[in-house]
Amino acid sequence: MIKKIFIFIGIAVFSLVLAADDGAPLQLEPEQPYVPDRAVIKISNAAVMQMENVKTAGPGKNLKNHPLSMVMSKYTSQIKQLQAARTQDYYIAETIEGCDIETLCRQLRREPFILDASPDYYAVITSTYPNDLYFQYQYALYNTGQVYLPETGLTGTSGSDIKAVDGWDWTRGSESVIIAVIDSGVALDHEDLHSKIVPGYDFVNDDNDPYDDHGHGTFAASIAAAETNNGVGIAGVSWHAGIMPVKVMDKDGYGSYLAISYGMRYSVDNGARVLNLSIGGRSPSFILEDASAYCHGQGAVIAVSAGNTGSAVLYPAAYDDYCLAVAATDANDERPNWSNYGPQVDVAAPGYFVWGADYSPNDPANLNSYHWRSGTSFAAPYVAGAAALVMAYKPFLTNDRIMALIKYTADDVNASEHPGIDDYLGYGRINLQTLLGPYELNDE
Amino acid sequence: MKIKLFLLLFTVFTLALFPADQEQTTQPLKIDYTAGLNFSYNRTPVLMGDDDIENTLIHSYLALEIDVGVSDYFTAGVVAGYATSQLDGPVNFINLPLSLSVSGQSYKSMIFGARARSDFLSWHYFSLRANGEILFLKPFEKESTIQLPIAAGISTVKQSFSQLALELLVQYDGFSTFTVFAGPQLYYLKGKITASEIIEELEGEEEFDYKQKKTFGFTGGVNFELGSHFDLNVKVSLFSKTSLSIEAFYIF
Repeated sequence: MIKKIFIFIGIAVFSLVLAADDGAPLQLEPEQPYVPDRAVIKISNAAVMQMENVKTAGPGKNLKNHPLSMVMSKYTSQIKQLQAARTQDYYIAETIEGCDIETLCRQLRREPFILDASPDYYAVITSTYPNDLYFQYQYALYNTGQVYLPETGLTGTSGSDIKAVDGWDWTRGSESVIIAVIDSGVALDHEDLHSKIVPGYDFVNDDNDPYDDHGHGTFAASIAAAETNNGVGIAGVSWHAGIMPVKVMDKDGYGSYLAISYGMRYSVDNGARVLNLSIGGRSPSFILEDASAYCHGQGAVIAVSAGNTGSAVLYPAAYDDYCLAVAATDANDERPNWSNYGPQVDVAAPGYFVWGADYSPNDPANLNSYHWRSGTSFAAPYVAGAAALVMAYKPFLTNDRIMALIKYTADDVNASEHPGIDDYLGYGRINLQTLLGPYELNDE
Repeated sequence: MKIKLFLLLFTVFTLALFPADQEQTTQPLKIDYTAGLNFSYNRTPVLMGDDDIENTLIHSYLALEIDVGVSDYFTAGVVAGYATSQLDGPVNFINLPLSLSVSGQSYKSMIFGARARSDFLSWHYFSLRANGEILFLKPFEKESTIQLPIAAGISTVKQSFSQLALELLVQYDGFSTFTVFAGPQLYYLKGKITASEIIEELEGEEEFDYKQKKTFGFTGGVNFELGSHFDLNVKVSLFSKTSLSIEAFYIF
């Protein structure tokens, strides 16, 4: 009887072994990388006490004559050198090239005196907070209620931002998406922009040098797509998008509708899929309407500032079928009274004392400076950057769908006064977390 | 995989060669009927999509099973019942205009299938049994509201799966009131989860296929004979899935 039970148990165990060995090792997660030539060993305190000369082995000292090295003599084909680590009871085994460190650690754990052994795994930074110097003042991207104007001590309301940090968890953009900044040009050699620049054009002087002689375009470009996480300057909304400088405004801040229309058409014909126009005029004209229709028809998303005169939305922002008209909010998600309004306003973004790359043609020696500016001109690039992120993350979406998505995912921040879509902030202040992150479906 | 199949076949072959006192008695063909209730709780590690993202399918069902036994060696039956299923980890549908994340949503549906069992070798108190089971979860869909700050829409998530399990069990019936059994299990699962959304003019659909992470498993259990007409069967499976099944049968 007992024999039969043993036979039964044997077969059961055999089945278990068969089942457990499924060809691949039991591994729930991908292998984590580690320092290639190092294992970390932890020995017991009791063992340390037993060892003579242990006090002579300080951090970094070679333990050639240390008693622990006797244990290690077994592993001469795997361990090159053993050193005390800075942490008490930890030792660093420098391994021979090609050594299988995980196998070595398994073997070491079986040795007397050794409590544990581990590869020295690499951890990764899990946050998407960029390290740009002035990010701390960019309430528009991440508002904790911090001081955003150090000269004045002004603070805002925590959460009154476009939720960029949360959105960057999903994408930080792509070099393949190019934002055309149709403006006064861009300071091409600015430290926070130069690596992002793709060839553009100067329609004011009709040449290939769209260098900024005003400063406005440089500032707008930096908000949309400044080089980010580079330790200097500011963070752009789209970390990786390219910037196409298209100069249509002169040094005094004026540009003809015809030059603007040329710039818009040039942009889409040369690969830009997002257009930022922080410019506008009061008069409608077929010149801008046709250019907007053309660019829209070519699949571009056009973000345009609504205007700063507290009146009707300017053109081309008011061409509602083709453009996203962008109003401004401040660090408390309130609309400055100078932000233009009307039924054409689609969304809003921070445009009140926002930080950007400042360039003054009157002070070219001070090229790499940063400062704040206000205006819907600087709200529109947040939307352009957001559109570039969506294009990178969801390249299958058409421009119309991207425009709709940006609107639908905006926060209705003035709902207490104007619930729903309104003339002041449209659908509301854009929200990159809702735009890019998943909507959670749970059991209700 | 080939080695494991070989080992499985080797086991069967070896058992088949168990010698002499193998008892083969000729019996007149008899047909009997059993009906029972079957409750099963299962956690199956699955791999989803082209990137083989790991997740866990949790499903349980309560089913009615009717079996027909032909002689003492072969039984076949049908199963139908009510099932709930859910994928434990989040499934992120990012190829939609608005990404959706389905997490812990449970789906209630019908489950139906068939089972067959053959006792084909016996030696003293040991016998060898082959079990086969195929089950289908009827596709089920669930609608949810998508409520954005101003815009609103509807999402629909559909889920279905089918599974096939083949078991080769060694059974020991040397005890008077119960029988124990154990053996390897070959397990396949194939499922699909689809999400679609309509938010005003935005719409899209995306689907993920999923399959079992491990093909080979282990099954073991106890069958209690509760009088001449009742059987209670408790079975666990490991490795390919973790499951507990309790079946109560009435033998007509």
